[in-house]
Amino acid sequence: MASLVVEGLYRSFSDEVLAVENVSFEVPDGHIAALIGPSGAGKTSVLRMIAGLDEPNLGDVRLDGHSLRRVKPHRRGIGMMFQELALFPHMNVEDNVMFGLRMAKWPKPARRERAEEMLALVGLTAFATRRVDELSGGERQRVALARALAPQPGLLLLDEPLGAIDEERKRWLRNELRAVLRSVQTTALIVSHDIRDAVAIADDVVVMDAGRVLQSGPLATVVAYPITAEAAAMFGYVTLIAGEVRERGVFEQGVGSLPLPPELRLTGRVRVMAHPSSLRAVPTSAGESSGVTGLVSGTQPDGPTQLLKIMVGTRQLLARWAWEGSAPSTGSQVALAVRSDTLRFYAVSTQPVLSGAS
Amino acid sequence: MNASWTRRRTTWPWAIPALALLGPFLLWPLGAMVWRAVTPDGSFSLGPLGDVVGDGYYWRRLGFTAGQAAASTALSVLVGLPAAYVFARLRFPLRGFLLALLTVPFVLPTLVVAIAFQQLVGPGGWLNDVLEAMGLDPIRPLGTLGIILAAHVFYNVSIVIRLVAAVWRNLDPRTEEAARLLGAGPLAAFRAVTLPALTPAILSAAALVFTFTFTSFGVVLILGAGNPDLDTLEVVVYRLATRLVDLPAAALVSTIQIGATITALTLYSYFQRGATRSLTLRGERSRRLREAGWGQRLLAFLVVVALGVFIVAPMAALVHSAFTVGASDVATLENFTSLFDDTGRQSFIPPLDAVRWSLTFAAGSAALATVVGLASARAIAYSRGAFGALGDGLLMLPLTVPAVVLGFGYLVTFNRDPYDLRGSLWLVFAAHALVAYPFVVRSVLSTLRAVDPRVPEAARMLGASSWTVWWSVEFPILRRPLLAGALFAFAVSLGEFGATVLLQRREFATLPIAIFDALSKPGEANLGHALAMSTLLMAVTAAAFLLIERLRYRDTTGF
Amino acid sequence: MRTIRTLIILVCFASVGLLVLSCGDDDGGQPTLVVLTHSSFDIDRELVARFEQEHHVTVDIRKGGDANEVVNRALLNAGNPEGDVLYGIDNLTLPRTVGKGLFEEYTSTLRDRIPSDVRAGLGDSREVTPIDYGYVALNFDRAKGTAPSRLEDLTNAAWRGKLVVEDPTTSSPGLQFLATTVAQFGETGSYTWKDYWRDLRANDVLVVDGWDAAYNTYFSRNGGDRPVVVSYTTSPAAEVFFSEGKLSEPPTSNVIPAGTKLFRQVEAAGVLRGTKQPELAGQFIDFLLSDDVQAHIPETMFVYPVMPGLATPDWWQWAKVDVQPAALSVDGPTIERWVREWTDIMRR
Repeated sequence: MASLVVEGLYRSFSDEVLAVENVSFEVPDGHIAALIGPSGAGKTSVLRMIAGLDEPNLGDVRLDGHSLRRVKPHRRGIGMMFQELALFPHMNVEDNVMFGLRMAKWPKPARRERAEEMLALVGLTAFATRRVDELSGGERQRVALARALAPQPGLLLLDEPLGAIDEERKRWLRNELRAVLRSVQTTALIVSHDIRDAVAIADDVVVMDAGRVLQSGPLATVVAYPITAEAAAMFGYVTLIAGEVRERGVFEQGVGSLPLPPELRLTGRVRVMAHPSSLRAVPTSAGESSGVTGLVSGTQPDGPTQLLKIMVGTRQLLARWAWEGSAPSTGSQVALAVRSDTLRFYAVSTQPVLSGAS
Repeated sequence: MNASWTRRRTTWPWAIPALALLGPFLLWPLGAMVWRAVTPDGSFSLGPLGDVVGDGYYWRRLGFTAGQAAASTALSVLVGLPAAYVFARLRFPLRGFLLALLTVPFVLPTLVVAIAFQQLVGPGGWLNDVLEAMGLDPIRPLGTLGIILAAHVFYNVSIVIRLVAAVWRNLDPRTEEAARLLGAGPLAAFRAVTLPALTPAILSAAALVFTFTFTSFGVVLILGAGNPDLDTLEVVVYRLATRLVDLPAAALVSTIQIGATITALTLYSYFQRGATRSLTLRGERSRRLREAGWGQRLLAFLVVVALGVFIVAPMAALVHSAFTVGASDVATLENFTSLFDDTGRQSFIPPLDAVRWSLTFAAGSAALATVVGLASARAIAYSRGAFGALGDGLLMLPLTVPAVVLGFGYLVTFNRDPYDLRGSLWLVFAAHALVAYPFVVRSVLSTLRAVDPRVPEAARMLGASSWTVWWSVEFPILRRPLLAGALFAFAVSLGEFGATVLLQRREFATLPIAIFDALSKPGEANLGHALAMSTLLMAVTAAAFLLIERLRYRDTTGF
Repeated sequence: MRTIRTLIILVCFASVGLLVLSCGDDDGGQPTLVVLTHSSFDIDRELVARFEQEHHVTVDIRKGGDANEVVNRALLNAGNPEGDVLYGIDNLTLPRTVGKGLFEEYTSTLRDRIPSDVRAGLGDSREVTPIDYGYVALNFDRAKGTAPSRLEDLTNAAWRGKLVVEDPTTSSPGLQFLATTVAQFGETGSYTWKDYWRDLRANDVLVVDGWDAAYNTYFSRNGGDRPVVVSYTTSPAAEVFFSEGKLSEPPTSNVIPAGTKLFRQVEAAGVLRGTKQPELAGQFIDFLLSDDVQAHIPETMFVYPVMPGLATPDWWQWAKVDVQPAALSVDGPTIERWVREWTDIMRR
């Protein structure tokens, strides 16, 4: 177990393009952190620099306060589960798991014992002597996990651990992965492009886009208060209004307006976003309307209620119609109701200033 | 889902063309020679066999031959591995061209290579010029083991580089990184993870290099400079056959040699299957040089410069000599232009005729080799188990037979009516096709094995006739390796010397014969001619080879 | 598109082949007489041209390396020959051809003029006709002090690394010198020819493939470092001839100690069995025995013509040697045994 500090990492692929730019974040001892972002955001690059497989042009990685700058990968005490698993094809399951122990010069009986323990942990006890290419995708995944965990790394890096698994099994595997990581109490950093992985497994989250960290912190905080519109979008926030600030409100032609909280001093173009879980569609006549309206472009029954596809300006979003009576027909106008404390305001094109009020 | 069911098909008819070539033109002559050896007075006797087996001399030569082959193999692997790494893992300008350049020696006729080395290290060669300029004593490497090993590495290092790099390139570097993160140092990670994955490729390359150096002939004959301590078995066979005219002993010694090479080639074939199996066509995993660390850059630099010099120097020395021998001090074209001028010379093979005949034999035997090779490749690829391995070995047999023995076998077998074929073009065609077709097999086989047999079957299910399947599915897949194989056969035929020197008649002498002829005559004019023709031959084979390079599937194994 | 390109390439292959095959010989009717011989054969071009005119034939003289190689090749092609006449077979190679059907019998009208002892050198065989003869002897570079006085001297420390000889498996003079040593030291006794060669090997003798390398590369007279070389008794005379007047006496000398028996090599020509023009072949052999050709033999090939009583040039006086031809009965198996034993001693 160890705490991880990543400080100002830079890495360029060519003279012009920066792949990773000023990346900093921390993962406290024993925490599971998720590094999320769209593909190409630089997540894997960061992971490889932490592991020591690539060298940063600038910046440092510290484990328990010790700089790793001059430490070779095999002396860092970091475990990694690769996206492609990278199992050793010429070894059986057990030998794969014991490899790290052999390198650490564990005595043979101890190795065997630890391997058994690890295989039991991931539920592969019966597979010890099988060849790795005879295993299914999920089984191989678990071998890779057991192999990475066996030498008791201070830090475990997982690169898209659920990448190649089908949707149905993913949900189950997420829980299993979380259970395993919890039981070994290791500090872990999971790279994923899927926010659901982070939500299901992680304590902390680091959001990256285009080589930079947008935001990092405890999962609940980051999800509730995304620091930028991009981060918000990643967590599933939708844009209600993208317009100009006018007279203490944000106004968009053809959509409507929302009041700007008095403590926010925003001018110019502003985006107002909300999480779909706080949205409801209501008749325009209802007093609950927030001031944003849209046209119904489709309906979809969901239990006793309806989900409406609503065109707000040029954007489509989904909102629940919880109003009594039948749903509005396609083409009719509806209003959106939203709790004002869940609205998040972002200045467009300039540096993000502040998230919503709290 | 039963793979054996889908794979079951009649394979033996595909072996017919190969057997039609192998039977009369390999097995019969060889068998006849061995038969003569054990029936010295018309009745069976193991006496001659006993004479050879009981003679310590042959065992010593066998020991030396195996020893120098092992040393050459080890050196080639040692030099080839770092280069394979550089070519597999790093991208740099001219990489493809350099790889092709490194492989050029492999297709060069031994005669040309030997002459090139002679021009480089012989008296007055570049090497001694350099030493002299550095104030060092000149060296006389001709007739030493060192120069023979150097020539063998020159010849064969590309086999190691190509076979190993092909696998290395497709190897996921993450397995090695995984090992690093599990606590293995760079060397331990290489040993534990990368080396085992490369082993089949390394072993198959080693088996191949061993075969080629075990049967080394032209290099030893010319660069050995008559030092009897450097005679390989094949040279012994040559001496027995041409000088002492002891054909029975020659046949027996060849038999020993064939046994040894078959063993090596069977191993190659076995390892090659392993190498092919591990081949899942993944994307290339190389990185650009600028992303690489300093160590890697330095290695790349050293490999490119050292190998570049090593490979280019002999060829450059040859070309240089071709332009300067006989000229007062500046380069002239005289040696080339005088090739076209054959008046007033006695006993002179007109170079233009030699070129013509070389091209004729090369085109004809390449065509024949392609047909036979393709059929054989199918027979091998679609058969499994014992027959597959055995057939593979049997069809590769021509690679193991000393060319000199082949030529002798023909002359002492096809020597009475109604099959007195001595002096006939067809023996030359047969011999060339025979030594060339294994290259077609090798070229096609790896692709054929990588193709899912269900692909053509799927086409059949979609209603295509077997001819249509061949034309519209299999041929397009095999087109490039097949053409590459044909060009390889073409190049092999162009350079063939050992058998041709015995089978040729002056009326259809080939370029290597003309070179040898000019070389064995005194005077600078003849040497100049030999050098000019060698340069031409080198240019043609190199051009054919560069064409092969363009046609090859980059990611299949095989040489 | 690609398939089409492939087809085009294949068609190119095929057409190159066909094109080349279709270019036949365009020699207009005149027959060609092919003479197979070794590389040191030489004959006056004008005399050949006269023969060509007289018989309406083109003479193609093909030199196939060393005499031994030429005979070996001819043997492999016996009955289906590469040429019409073979010149260069001698009393050391002829025994190998016995019973192999290499030659057709031919008796020249000039045959009776050849001295009988010369004919006897070839067992008076009717298959071949003697044309010239010669001896092989040690030549010494006179610029290097005193010549050795006996063959045995060459096994002494004083002569260590001084001798270069030709390999008898590849070189005719090499084989003749071997025969000379057999004649000199004998096959039995306390010191045989084999002991002599073992001592030579221990004394750092250099063995090279052919006469050209031995004489023109390693002999000290021509830039090498070996002052003693196995060459011909005519070589000193040839040095005078080639100096074109600069030398009045030879810079080298024959080492022929009194009592040395020199093996006499008799070179002959024969009509190859299977030739399509045996008559013409016979006429060419007669031509080789004609006075014109015989008189030219000293200066073209530096051997002694078989025909006696011909006028010889001045410098030929240096080639005159007074020797006893060695009396050796040689048959094929014996020569093979010598060579094999020599190879065992020197090449293993």
